[in-house]
Amino acid sequence: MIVDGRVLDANSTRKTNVCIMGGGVAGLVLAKELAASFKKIIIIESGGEYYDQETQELYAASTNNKNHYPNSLYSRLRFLGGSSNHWENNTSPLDPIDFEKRDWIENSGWPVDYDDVAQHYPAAGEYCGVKDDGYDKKVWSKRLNKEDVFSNSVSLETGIAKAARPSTRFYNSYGKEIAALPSIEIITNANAVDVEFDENTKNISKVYFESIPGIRHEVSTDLCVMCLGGIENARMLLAFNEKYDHRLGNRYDNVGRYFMDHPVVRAAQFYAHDMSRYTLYKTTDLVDRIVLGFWKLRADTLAANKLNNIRMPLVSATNYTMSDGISSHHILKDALSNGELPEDFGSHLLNFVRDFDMVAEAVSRRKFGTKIFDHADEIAAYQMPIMMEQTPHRDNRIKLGDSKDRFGIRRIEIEWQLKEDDKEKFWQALTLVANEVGANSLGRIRLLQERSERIWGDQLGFGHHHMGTTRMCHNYKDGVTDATQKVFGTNNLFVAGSSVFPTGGHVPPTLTIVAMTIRLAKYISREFARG
Amino acid sequence: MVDQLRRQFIAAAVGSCVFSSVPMLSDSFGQHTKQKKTLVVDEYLYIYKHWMNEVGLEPADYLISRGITTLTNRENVREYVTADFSTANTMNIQGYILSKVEVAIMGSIGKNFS
Repeated sequence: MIVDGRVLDANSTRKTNVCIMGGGVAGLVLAKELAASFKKIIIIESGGEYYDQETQELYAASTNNKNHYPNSLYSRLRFLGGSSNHWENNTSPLDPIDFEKRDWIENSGWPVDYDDVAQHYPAAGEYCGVKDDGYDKKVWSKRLNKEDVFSNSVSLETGIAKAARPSTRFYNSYGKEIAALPSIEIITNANAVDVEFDENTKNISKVYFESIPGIRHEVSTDLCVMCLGGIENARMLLAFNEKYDHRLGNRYDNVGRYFMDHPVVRAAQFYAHDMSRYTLYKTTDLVDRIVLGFWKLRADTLAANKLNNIRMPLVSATNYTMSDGISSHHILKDALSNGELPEDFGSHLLNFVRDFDMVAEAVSRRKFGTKIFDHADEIAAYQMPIMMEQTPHRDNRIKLGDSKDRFGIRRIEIEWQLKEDDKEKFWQALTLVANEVGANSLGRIRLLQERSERIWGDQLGFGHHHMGTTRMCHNYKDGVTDATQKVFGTNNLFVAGSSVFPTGGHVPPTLTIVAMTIRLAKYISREFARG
Repeated sequence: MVDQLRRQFIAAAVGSCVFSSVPMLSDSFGQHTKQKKTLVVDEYLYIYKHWMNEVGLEPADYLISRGITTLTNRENVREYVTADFSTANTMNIQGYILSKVEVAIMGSIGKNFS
């Protein structure tokens, strides 16, 4: 059943076994998985069935981060289905090493091991629309009859990504089925604003929500799960804690800290000896999904060289997009317009002159909307938009700002930086890749370190994968949730989603979010379901 | 007016390409289709100077010290190159990670322009 919160009588009350805050990927999967175990489950969702600008703006930050971190207002979506309404559906599993305590990565290590999560990847694959046939590189290389160029490599290997086509929008795919389940009630346009926490039992006994500012509704619940997203889980937990003196998982000031994303860095180009060998690394269209290979470093190489994980897809690039002359043209233009000479003026001038055909092509395309040179569109090499694992740092954080949204909840402030040690390890990793590519006679790698200022500045991309803000941990001192995803200091408050990830790994998080949510549902069903 | 400007751009571009384009290094960097245009003398000379700054030893002497006395046996040179990559015996030339043997070969050519 779906109920619009705006038409409820003022100060309505409800009772439920499980109250799920948020109807995005984690919330919908959790509800579906728990439906058979509980008589009553209520999902409180801020949005409706469709996008609404006024609701979306509840995500607006108090102030925006100054360190190139993008405004998170539109990188997530606030209606049923959540950010699956605009994701690229790119799925891959984490590696076993991603779960391990790695001495060279501060604050690494999950309180659960790989097998504990991996057993749920097949079911998670089904949810994501990519089926349960796994990501084994040998299987896919053979099945697609495409070469794995690293089958004999000592330090590199192939990873497999799969994505449903069309992309799986979780509410479109599962919403009607979930809403039709007798145990489930979805309340839309319902914004969680407060909770009632019993100091003696350590239980959340009530969740309050508002659809119209100032008019509260109450849900009495046996169990509560926050499924609001990587940023919003932290925001609301911080907001709830203002009333309870940080007893909801925040005694050690960990809520909102260790915030991570996946920086996407266009820092390398691959010039292949034989470009026909890389078909596994181009999109292969199957009936209802695509399969794509990517490069990655082997786990033993990561460990031996003390590196963070990276994911390296290959993107065909034309002479036009690879042109040094166009890059130098922009640098020269920016500097000269400020009355300055750029560093390496001579090199930029040389690039400009020798690539003048591509500069002219760029001007023609921009000014006249037409192309001049046919060879501008010929494939020159591969660009590598590399997704890197960020070390979780305590001072990267979501915190509450001064301004409030229309429901009186303080808006977020994001403090985020990419640390120098992550950048250094990244270049080390790429140098290893370059050596291995040469050793296997595959071609040559060009590192774009001379463009570092722009690569780590205005050209830095992001996966918009918000992680780590309610991190899982063995002990309260270092985290917010325990190995079961239960908030420390409470007995019935859980968190689901990528905010519980202690480290982010090298792949998009949604497959793991779903697998972890299935795991959580099994735990909750086992421990809390009665009759 | 627009067409006149376009013709001027095309004329300038073509003129510049004729002036500056010499294909080079494509064998070293792979058989990709990139039609790189460059000032060949400057590139080889740059590599020679870079080599001398980094290594100090004349590139030809380095090749001899590695046992390479002829470049006619390409398979032999290729083995040296892959061995360099396997042992991280490489140099960074304008971002390209190259084996020292291949840089030394290009540096030897560059010396002729110094």
